[in-house]
Amino acid sequence: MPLLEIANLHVSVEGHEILKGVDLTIDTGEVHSIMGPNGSGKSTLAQVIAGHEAYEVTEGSIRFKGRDLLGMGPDERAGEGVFLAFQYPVEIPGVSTNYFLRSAVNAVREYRGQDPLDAGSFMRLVKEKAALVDMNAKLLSRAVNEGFSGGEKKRNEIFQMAMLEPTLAVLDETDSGLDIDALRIVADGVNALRGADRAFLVITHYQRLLNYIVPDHVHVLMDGRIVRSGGKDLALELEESGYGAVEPAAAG
Amino acid sequence: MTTATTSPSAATATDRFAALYEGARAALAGSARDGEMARRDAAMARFREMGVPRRGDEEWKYTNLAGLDALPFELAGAARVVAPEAVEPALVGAGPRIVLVNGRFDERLSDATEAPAGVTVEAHVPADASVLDRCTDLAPLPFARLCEALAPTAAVVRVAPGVEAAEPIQAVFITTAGDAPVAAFPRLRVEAGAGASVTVVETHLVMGAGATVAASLTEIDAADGARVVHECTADLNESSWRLAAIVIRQARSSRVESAAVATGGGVTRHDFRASLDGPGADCALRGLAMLSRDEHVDNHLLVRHAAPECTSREFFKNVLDGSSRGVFCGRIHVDQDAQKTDGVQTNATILLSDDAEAQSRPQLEIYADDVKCTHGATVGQLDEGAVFYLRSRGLPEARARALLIDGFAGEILDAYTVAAVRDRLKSALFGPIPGGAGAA
Ligand SMILES: Nc1ncnc2c1ncn2[C@@H]1O[C@H](COP(=O)(O)OP(=O)(O)O)[C@@H](O)[C@H]1O
Ligand SMILES: [Mg+2]
Repeated sequence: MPLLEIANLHVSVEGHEILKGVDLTIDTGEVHSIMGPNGSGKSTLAQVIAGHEAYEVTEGSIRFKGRDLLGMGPDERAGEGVFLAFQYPVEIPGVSTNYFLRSAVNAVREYRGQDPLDAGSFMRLVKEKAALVDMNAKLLSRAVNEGFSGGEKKRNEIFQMAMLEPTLAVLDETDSGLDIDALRIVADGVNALRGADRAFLVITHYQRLLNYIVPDHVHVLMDGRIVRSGGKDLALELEESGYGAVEPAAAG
Repeated sequence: MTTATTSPSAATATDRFAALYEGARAALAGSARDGEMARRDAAMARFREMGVPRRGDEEWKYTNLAGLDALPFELAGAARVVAPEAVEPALVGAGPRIVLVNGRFDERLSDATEAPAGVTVEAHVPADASVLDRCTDLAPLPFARLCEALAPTAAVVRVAPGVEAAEPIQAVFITTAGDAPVAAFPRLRVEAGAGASVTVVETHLVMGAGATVAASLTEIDAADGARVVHECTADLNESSWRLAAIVIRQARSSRVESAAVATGGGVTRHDFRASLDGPGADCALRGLAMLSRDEHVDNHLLVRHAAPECTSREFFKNVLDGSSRGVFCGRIHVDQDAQKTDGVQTNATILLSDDAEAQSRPQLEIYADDVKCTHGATVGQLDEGAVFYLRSRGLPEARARALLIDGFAGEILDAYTVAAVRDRLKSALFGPIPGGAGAA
């Protein structure tokens, strides 16, 4: 049974169709990448997987571990092991990153039938995972994403991913706005979490990130459809020829 | 809330207050000191001139006092006995404490024996109302005058020049509600001498379910370089009218912080008035109203910069659920001589229901030419994008919303310096905090 199975997914926002029949299957242990020009629907797909209610699924299905994902609320999906690293992480004024994370970790643990972490175990976990993405400890006592630089926000997303230990992590343009050092750190963090019991969907506009997070499969999304799929070399090909050269007829 | 069932012969609230005064005058005179009755009479005369504000009064546009006319209130009883256990949960620490029950000093519940040298905490009628006089130059405060006339006594906290009172001093005002509506007049005076420093916690408790009308007056007088922190909370019932004036006078380089959190009650009106009379004075006013049902809070402020180089900060927030109503009306007034004034005033409201209502009127009135003043007001719903973000991290929807409200309100609550007050407010508002860790 595949981990994620998206079939004929049609999604509209405010009556405007954005995804026009997406099929995508991801198995545990795999890293898939979705590339595509701006406005092609990449973030829409990511948000629908995470359960954003503004996006209306008009046709098709998403199954996760064989279960109907679309029937679950965003928090249930998180409990089941879905994680989205947001393209635009949200600021939460007045709520410290530490407190937020502890609430999140314990909510997910509760969903998974695990005991809540006490303060000591939580802090040990924070230390371990913060080191993974070289996250500045000072940020933890600040309000979530408030006053964070673009790079700090993206790092915080990967840090949260590490804390919540998802089965499927969707990274939506985590590379945008990162300089090369930050990009490498984020990629190292992701690579450290790669494993047989976890899968990734890495959304990116540029091929650059895929030098560091090498995908098993690359898909090209254009105008709400996956128009081509291939191996990691497809990313390099796109880098050279651009999206304009992609042959929609070659979809598969 | 009591609804108006006015019969043609019913007295207005103004008449009723006047009658209360006539009835109480002989007893007040019995224990009065020199000049006290003249001051009371004068205060009452001023109240009668103004009367209970009517619908057309611009200053009271959003707070309708017509319901008072239908309330046959009497003076809160003198002989009520309150058990120490009933007060215990509201106490904030080991510092000196003065407790007034229905306006009278309660020796059994008070404990001012431990007051350090240079600090006095006692009950007596102040010999003047100079801070109130100063703070009503620009606009009157009828209920403060009423309190001046009718308060049997006042809690008076005095800190001698140069003395730092280490422990917070608590003034507790208890009103015992009964079957019949009662009126009460809590009065607090804080005098900080030059260079003195003190934290005063003002606690209002309404005990019982009956209707109460409390016209309260808090006067803070900060001499040169004095530092005063004043933190006010009120545990009211749903039939309570709390009409409070907090008047502050600040001399050179003094700093006063005053905060009031309203978590319920019937109708609450706070009139904050600060007069920054000495150069370099610094004033911070904060307020939070978290309301549901048909609760009503009206925060009115008038901060007067009367001297150069003063700073004022006014931060007020509302979280409104049910059919509650939050009003903010703030005015920074800068006198012609008050150059280099630095004033910031903000009001932010979150509406949690379609029936809740917010009114916000921040105003600047500037007669000096070299000043830096800003104001702003926002009214909105909870950020749904933030709710989704939190839910995507596993937090159930209700928890996500509570966390956002907690964060919004926290900015005001976290500024409470007395930990016991802050924790009590937080657990009352948000329930027990998991692991005891704060939200920020
Ligand atoms: N909430 C929304 N309301 C209206 N239009 C939207 C909304 N979100 C996305 N769109 C539109 O959908 C299209 C795809 O957007 P998006 O999924 O963000 O693309 P990408 O991430 O590939 O750049 C764009 O044309 C965008 O303007
Ligand atoms: Mg996008």
